[in-house]
Amino acid sequence: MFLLKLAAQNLRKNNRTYLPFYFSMIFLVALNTVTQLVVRNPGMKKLYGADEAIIIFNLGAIIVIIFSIIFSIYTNSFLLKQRTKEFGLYNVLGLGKRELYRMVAFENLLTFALTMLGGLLTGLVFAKLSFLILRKIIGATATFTFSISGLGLLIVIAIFVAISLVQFLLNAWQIHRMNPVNLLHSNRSGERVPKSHWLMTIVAFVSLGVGYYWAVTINNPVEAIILFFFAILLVILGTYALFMAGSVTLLKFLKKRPNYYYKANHFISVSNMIYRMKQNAAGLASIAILSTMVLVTLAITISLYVGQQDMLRDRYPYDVTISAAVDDKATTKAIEQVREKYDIEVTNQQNLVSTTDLPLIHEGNRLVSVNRTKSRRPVMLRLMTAAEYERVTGRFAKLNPHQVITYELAGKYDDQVLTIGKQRFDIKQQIHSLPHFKQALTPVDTLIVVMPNTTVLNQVLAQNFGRKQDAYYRQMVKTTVFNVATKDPKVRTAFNEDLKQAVSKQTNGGLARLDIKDDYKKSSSVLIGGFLFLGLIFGLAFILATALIIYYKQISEGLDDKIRFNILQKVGMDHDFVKRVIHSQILIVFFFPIAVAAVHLTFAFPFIKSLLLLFGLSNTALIIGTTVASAVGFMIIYFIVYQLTAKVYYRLVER
Amino acid sequence: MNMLEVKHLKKIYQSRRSSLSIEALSDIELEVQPGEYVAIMGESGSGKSTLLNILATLDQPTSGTVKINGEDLGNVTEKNTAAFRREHLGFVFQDFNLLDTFSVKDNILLPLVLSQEKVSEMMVKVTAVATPLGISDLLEKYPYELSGGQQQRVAVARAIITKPDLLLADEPTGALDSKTTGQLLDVFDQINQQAQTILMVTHSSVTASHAKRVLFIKDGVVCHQLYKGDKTNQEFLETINQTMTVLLAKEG
Repeated sequence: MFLLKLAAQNLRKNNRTYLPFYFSMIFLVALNTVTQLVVRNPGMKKLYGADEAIIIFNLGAIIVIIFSIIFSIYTNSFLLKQRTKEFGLYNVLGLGKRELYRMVAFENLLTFALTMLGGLLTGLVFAKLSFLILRKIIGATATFTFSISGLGLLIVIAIFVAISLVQFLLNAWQIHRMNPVNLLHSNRSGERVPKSHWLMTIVAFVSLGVGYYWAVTINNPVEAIILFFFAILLVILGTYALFMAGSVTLLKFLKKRPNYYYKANHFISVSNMIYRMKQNAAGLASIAILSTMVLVTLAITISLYVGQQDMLRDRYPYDVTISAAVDDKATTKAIEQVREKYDIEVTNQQNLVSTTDLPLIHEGNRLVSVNRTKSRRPVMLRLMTAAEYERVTGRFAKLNPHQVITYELAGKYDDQVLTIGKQRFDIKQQIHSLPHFKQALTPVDTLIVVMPNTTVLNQVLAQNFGRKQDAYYRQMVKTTVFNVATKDPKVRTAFNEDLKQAVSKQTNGGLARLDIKDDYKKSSSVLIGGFLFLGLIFGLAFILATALIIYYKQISEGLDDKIRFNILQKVGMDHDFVKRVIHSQILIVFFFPIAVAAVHLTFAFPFIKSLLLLFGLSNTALIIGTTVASAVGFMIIYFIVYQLTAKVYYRLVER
Repeated sequence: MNMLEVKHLKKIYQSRRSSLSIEALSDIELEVQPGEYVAIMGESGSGKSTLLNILATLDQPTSGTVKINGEDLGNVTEKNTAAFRREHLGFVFQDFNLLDTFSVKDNILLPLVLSQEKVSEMMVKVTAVATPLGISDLLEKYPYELSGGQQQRVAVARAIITKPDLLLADEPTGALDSKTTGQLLDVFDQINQQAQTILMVTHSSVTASHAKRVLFIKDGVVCHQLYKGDKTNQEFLETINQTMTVLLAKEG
């Protein structure tokens, strides 16, 4: 029991060194709790494009776990460095190593209990509060409500049991190999010069290269999610290796250039940075990775939020879209009745007869129907007759029986020839607009094909979709679109409701479908608002984590640099120069991680873009804009945090 | 002209919180000729470190003047003290004060780099200094790989590479054992023979016995001085010890 008391006393008495450690551990527990609660929130599944959203947030949660492990070992080693002497003293005063192990075990146990309690409580309170704010903003019907996930909490506890165990083992190892006499004597035995690890440098560049290559070349990150996850892991690995080995190798290279190295400012910066990199590589790399994560999360969620109108316009160019089988007279009539009842002026009304979206896939240079083989490149075809084309556009098609006109609604189809099943068509012309159909980037390529006449069109349908269960695809559909002139939301809502009722009564042919822009707008704004909110919680948590590392870094560096700058001043370096050198070092340390994060972000951009495409957002300029804006915003916050913590550093270093 | 001239030097430390003030130096008079080797002795608290800090421009006197090579330190502005230190003074400290992030060579080159000399000249100078000090084999090593005596010789090399007017040494043998103390003092003799002016502060009579003149400081004034003349080190040591006994006895 004496050891338990001693352990408790140690924690209390050493609170100057322990307090930051506690805060960081509590913060890590809280961070994991919040991310787990967010990821496992039932509301996530209700999001349009839920699968993709869950994937991003899961990735975030995994990265948080990786970060927690690395960072807790980092803070522990910082603590250990300061306490080794204390252990030596206890040893000299008569505590055997076995007692020391037990003392440290008690300490770790107490720390674990304390941080777990503090962290879980903080995390739950923070999450609860945030969800309350969310409710306030979005309204009572919010999809995202606070709920505690037992599994999530269990995961958090499991992670930190493992982390505490690792910390204990590291502490025990330190005690095991310590020699008390040496410890008491040598206060500051000089640190070894870091070696430049060529192998590790190569590993850094190779894994970054491969990771970047995958990130850029993967077309559909959701399909290739495993590969994409590996790409992320490679980039993380590469970042750590880059900071640990690459930076030292570069600095050593500079050191070997006498004409560069023996300039007053380079001389001191380069040699100091070598040591700095050795001690702080892990910290800086963590900052770079967390910053990237913040930026990606913010870019995606803010783009979604800002791009709402865009997505709406792309997905719903018209207020109301009604599709029904051509021969479905009942539906048409029902709709007519509703329109007459409301006497609403309708604008831009158009209609078009075509097939449904026919699912086909590439097989060699042919397109075949889905049922035959499995492939990864689906194409949607929508066929219409030349007569219909002439009616809608007012242009003459003049097609012979083996010619078609195509229109790339989404994606690219560059060939001169279009082969559907066994039938070969020459593409006579590619058009770039068609009333009623708006070009959009959707994940699946879609091609509109104008057939020479009804006979050819029916042949294609019969040959490729001739089976009994394909009856659905053989139907011709009449799509009617129109805008509702009135702006009064009450009238619009009532009108929409009646339309829906009228259509739902007519299930004839299974084709009748009604899409109302207002409905989609309502549900999507709630969901996207919620999504933005979750992204902001995530971003905030990451920013706090980043701030914490920067703070730790400044303290640990300040203590070491104090002695160095003191000597330099005695040898004849003036005060201003000291300040300039300190400033330039701080700037390098400040910009290096954020620059790496910016490069990461650039390579993550295709991922961001294709992910947003799955949500229906295709406005590249908008995405670039929000990405740049979030990067700039983040840099400002980062800079403020840095300024605040730099003060701590200056205070330590200056005489 | 005197290399160093100190007149009526007074230093009072005023405690920031209370009105209590401590007079570290009351009235110091001191002259050093070029090429001299002077040791200043005194007990702890006698004010010898304060004196050295003022000579080193690390501290300012309350009153009195200090002239180095004719230049009044009072006229050197705060901004220029660093440059003045670099150009006119060399330092050897008790705890070496080598930078652990620099190799031996870079530690020695530090003042030259700060003065922005040409790289080719630096390399010539570093060899010229290191060889007589017996550290030319250690140039690529790092301070933590060296013994205390070796580290102090590196510090000496760093101090004299700029060919300073005055070499100031603060307890240079304080952290060394008797064997390396002997070696370091030989180094000092050797560089003094090459006309380097040395002013050293110590409380070790053995160390002081290598100097050509020894000054004793007590209660903030120079109370006595001895010239070595043609005495051997051993004879001079005995004289110093006797003097110290007498000085101490006065107190009792």
